Amino acid sequence: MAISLQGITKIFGQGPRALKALDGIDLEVPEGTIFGIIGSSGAGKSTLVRCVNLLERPTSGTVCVGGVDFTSLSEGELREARKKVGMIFQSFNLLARRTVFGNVALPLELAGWKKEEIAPRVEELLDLVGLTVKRDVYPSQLSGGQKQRVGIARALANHPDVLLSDEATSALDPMTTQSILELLRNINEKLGLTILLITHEMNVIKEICHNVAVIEKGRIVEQGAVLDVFTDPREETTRDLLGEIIGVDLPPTFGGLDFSREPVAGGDLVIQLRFFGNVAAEPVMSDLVRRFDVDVNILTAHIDHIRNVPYGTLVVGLSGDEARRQAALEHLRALDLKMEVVGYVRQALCPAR
Amino acid sequence: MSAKLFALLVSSLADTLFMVGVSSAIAFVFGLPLGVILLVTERGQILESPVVNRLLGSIVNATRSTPFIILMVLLIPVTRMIVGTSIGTVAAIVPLAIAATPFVGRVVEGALREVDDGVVEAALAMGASPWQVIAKVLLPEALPAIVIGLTLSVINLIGYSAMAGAIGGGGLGDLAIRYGYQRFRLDVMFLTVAVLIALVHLCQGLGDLVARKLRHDGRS
Repeated sequence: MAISLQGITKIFGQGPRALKALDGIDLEVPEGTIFGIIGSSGAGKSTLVRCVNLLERPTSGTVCVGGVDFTSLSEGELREARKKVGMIFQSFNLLARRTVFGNVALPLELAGWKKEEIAPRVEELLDLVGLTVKRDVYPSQLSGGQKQRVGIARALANHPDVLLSDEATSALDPMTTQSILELLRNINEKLGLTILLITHEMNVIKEICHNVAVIEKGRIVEQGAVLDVFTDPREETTRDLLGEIIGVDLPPTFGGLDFSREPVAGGDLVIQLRFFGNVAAEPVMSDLVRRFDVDVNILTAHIDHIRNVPYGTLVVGLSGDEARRQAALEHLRALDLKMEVVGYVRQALCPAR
Repeated sequence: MSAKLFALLVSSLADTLFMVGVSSAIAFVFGLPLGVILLVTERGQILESPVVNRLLGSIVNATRSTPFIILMVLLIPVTRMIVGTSIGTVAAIVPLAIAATPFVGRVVEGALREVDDGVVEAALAMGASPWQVIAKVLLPEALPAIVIGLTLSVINLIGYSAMAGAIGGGGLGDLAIRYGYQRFRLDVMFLTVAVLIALVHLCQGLGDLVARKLRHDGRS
């Protein structure tokens, strides 16, 4: 089911000590997608995700899940509605005195399932998350990744319409994070479950999210499809968060050569190419050299993938006859990639011929 | 040791066990819900209610800050009303239970407080009602700590029950005072103390054992 947040504001405290944690958040999570909200700590992420199931009641604004306005429900109705909203947590929040089976069974007990219905459902879920052998083990005997798998099984137990994830992988090592993300992606694809997750790790967004929203000081500063936001970030905050992923900051010099934003007579062009999808697999550079007789010198490069889509940034120096360079630029502009002349270097980067 | 003294010791021990047992049971029955209410009505808790919390809190504090020996004397009219007399083993149960109930309440409150807020939050996110949070999460998760706390309460009651002997409550304390102190029978005094020490040890050992069996958090 789709999640729709409109004008969500949350103010903690009153008077001069009041703190505005969320400031007019509008968000649309389309049904069946994985939507990531990213921000640094203190940006309001946790408060925002808690506003969806009203663990935190927004000061103003409406929360709709599957068309139902949660903010208008009575206490009893809200409890029923929450049974269809699964949630997983950074600290797992498992009951220490219940076994794996007991933990996964809890939401079903709360929802009034009969004992004979609970057991097969729990077995099915443990199979889904790959923990069948840990059925009768207590959480203290599990690794972090296994605990989160129990958390996921528990969240899915009552056939939820949406899943909320509060930094679910932040307490896990990179390898375990990867396996948990794969599990979440599987669930999204297999069950068509809408997932709203918050994280401070760009990697999480990159791996599994369709859409992303960047939150800063309680406001959404940028949102859109992950590929769009990643390849063409508009906001400073996004660029900062993306820094590690894009990995291309232009240095003041290239191999001792001064870099200039202004055209330099007789200098080389420095262009930045950003490409994704099929273009990444094509031999763009060698094609350029062959067809236009220019020299290409790769200055920095970064190739990665977003949800299995290859994606890269390349900064190259282009030298050669001005006419041929212009022809080469024309050719690049026509291709399905983002090309930008970012500057010039004062001397020929390539050996003179 | 004479057979007469031995019989006296056994009957005194039985009296003590009776007093402690019954007053513990009463204190648990009232103290457990009291502790739950004290916690859940606190600010930010699932049944937040500052008025109830402050009212119960001050009653509990008042009872707990009154020395037991004073409380016992103050409660004599109440005891007479309930039991018909203020002297004897049965009569001693009234002040013992009344003194222990707030203690158990605080102990239970403390045990419940140790339950991770995140676990409660997870239950609320699953759509648990306040009552379900108490019954399915708070009490079961806090059980080992509650057992430790109840053990402490029983041991406290053993001490109090000996004091009850001072106003004719019967039991080991009564024996120690009448024979050991007033008749200068040092051997009786020491014997009584030894039995009390053994009793306390037994309770503590039993409580620790049960709590350890109940824990599954890897701390055992």
